[in-house]
Amino acid sequence: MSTDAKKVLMLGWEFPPVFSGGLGVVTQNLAQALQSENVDLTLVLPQFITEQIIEARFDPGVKLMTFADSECDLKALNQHKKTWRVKTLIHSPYLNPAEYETQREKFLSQRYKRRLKSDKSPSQMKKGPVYGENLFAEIDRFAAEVLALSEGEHFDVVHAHDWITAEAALQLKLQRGLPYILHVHATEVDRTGNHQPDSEVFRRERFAMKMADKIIAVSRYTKDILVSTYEIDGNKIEVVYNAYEARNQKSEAEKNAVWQKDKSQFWVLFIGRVTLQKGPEYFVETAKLVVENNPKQNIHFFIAGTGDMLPQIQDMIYRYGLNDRVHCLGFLNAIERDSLYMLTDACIIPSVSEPFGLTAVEVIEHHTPLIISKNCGANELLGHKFPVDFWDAPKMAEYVLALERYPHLRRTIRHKAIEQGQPISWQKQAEEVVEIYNKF
Amino acid sequence: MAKSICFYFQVHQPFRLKPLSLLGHQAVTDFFDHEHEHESNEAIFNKVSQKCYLPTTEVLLRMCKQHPNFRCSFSLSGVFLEQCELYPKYGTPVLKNFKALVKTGQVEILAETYHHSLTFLYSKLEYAHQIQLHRDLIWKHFQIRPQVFRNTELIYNNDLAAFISNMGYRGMIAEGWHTAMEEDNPNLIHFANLETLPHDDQLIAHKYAIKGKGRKSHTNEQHFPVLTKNYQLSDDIAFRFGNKDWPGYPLQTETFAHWVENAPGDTVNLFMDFETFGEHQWADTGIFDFLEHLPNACQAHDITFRTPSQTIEDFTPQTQYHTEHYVSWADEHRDISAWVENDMQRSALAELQDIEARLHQYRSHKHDVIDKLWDDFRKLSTSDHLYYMSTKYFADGDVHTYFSPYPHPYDAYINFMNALEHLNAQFEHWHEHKGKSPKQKRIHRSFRLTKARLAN
Repeated sequence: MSTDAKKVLMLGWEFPPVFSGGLGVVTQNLAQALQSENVDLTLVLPQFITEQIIEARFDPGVKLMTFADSECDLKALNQHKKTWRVKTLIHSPYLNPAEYETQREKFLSQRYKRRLKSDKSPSQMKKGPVYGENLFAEIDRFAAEVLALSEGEHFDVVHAHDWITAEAALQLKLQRGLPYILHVHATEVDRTGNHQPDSEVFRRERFAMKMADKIIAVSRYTKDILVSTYEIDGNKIEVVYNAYEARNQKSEAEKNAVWQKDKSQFWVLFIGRVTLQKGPEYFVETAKLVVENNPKQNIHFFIAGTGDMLPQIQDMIYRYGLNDRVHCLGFLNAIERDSLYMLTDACIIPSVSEPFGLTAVEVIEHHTPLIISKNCGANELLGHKFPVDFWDAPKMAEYVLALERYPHLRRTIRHKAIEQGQPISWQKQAEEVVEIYNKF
Repeated sequence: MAKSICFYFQVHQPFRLKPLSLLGHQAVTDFFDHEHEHESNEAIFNKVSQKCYLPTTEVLLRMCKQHPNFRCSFSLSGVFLEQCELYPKYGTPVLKNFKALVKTGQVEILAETYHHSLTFLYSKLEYAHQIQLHRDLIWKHFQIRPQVFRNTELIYNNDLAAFISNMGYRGMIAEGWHTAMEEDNPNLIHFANLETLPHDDQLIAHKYAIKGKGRKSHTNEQHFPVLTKNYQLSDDIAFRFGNKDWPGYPLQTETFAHWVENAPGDTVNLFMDFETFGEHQWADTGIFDFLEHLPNACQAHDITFRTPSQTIEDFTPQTQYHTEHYVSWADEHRDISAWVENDMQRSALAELQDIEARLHQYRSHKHDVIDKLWDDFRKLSTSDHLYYMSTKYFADGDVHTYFSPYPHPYDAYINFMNALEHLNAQFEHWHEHKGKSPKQKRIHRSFRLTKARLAN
């Protein structure tokens, strides 16, 4: 293999088993695949995540960098990982604000300080549904940590996942002249359905994108958003799709053990977080139209997932009198989810905006007919599906009714999806990323 | 005898379905008139008329006048001619030009099914009936009886050839595909391998035969000629003409005449969609000039033109065209998979077959509702509806999607099946009431009620 292996500093925010959200899984898979592509990769995660990984004795499969004097038991780390005792001004991510401010001043450029000051208005601090109101502070702390940790280390390029880690990459670029690649998995435009993009997040995202030496977008759909809404030069954006790998299919017995389904019934599934971005209200609107036009009364709707819109959705179901036809299942574990995929006759993904949408790929993997919003990046990989506008409940209802009524429609789309279903491996995607690294 | 070019142009426009819904409980009785004017069949007809039908027929009229030896032939589907009458703004001048072309005596009209259908796949009776309907329509407009048959999409096999020969036609045209030809040369005149027709099919063929010609039963000794398409040279015009990456670009009439001269055999059969001129190959590719100047270039190479009938008349069949499987002019494999490959297409065909069988119970019924049901059913039998459902090249975004009014084959199937649902509902409704007027029904019901009361 090539001797001049690229030294890459990868910045992640989530990682299994601490956060098993989409970003964490993608970060893990990509990092491992890159390592086997002979990339000299070092991963930095927020300290509290690293500690939990270590406590859980979870093998991340890649080199993790952490503070040697943190409270976790270093002996639990296996040989893959390498830690440094770094001369650092930040000893812990849990500094008090005053201390933190003092330390930070020593690290940060004057320009950065000016930006931060303007960022600190309390109204802007409220946003950030996942991480609470001190999200921006945490991001800044993470940036400072990364700077401290990587002091004295040589890297060819920094690979940052999403805007949350971009601040750190930005600082490495400004202070140490390291080029960085910003890997965009989701934007504020997706998260807010572009209704009221949080101006502060948007501003940070855009600045990070503008400053990035290269951007990896997870779909052409996302690339288009970056070009049109964030006004980023399309020439520096490369599309690298997320991979998906075929998993073991559950047996008939296994799936029936989890769910009881009457053969005459036709099941329609919504799976995902019940949030604005995923468009659950359009699913309920569709259910209403279908129930009104289904004389057999055999079509049932399931919402698998939870989220801040759930009460509103339950209220909608109640108001429409759909209690016995639309069922909220809450969060499902992997076995429950996979067996539901197999029993389901149609799946609807009415996302308002979805950069990739791993769920779509999972649905197709289970050969379940898929009705999917056109604003979903995975569309670009999936040939045999029913593309819809996310708001077009009548069209979605038409598809559900047709799938129920015409068995040959179901059979053909299942067969064609199987014929076309060539999984994309992480190894192949890692090769594409290495090609991008090699430009530095 | 001088070598000749035999031109045949296919002119066809399907009645595309309007979007039909499963939502709502309203009965739908009109399947084809689109609410959105710009997507309507009329809009498409008008567009193609302006780009192709009118300018090309005018070029051909000039050519007939300037070159007394110029010949060509058309197959005009019944649904195309119906649209000429239905959409008179462009339809009237288009039809007028076709009539003028036929009047020159240099242009032949071929026989086909009225509805450009695939009915031969499931019902010879309906197939023969649609051929008869087309024959009557051609007589109405042109006062001629076509003698050479062209089947939908040049679909051909031995059985079909036997059926068509039993109907009294003088010959048939087909794709020059190597699997069907003894010698791999489409420029020779072929004869069909006629198998004995099942008795029932023979009865049907004779019943619907061209008057006075049907009874004679062909044998392999009495050759039934088959004209085969030279797809290489045809596609040079139809598909490659405007392609700047093609080594032959830009194609000059002189070069083409030279290729024709070098092609071994008696006739070079150039069969293509009429929309080649101005629609598939836009005017700015120079396609019209090419067509108009071709006779001059041919003259220099001692190449003349013949209609299919003349070609059959002037040359003796030399070699056999034999195929058990269907051969068509479509796609890479020249088979019928573009129409019957997937489950949806096969189920749609099965549904059509069912509906036809049910309608046949009322064949002798003279009733507006039944007439309308037959008419709609037949328009749904047009092959294009099945073609739109093809998933063969869907993922590649190939020609199938280019020619389809639907974004994907699943939409095509759903809309078609919805149309059949509505058609069935109409039929059920009529069947229940057996054509009784609402007033009669009311009398009946009150009569029954009276009887019931009396019984009490």
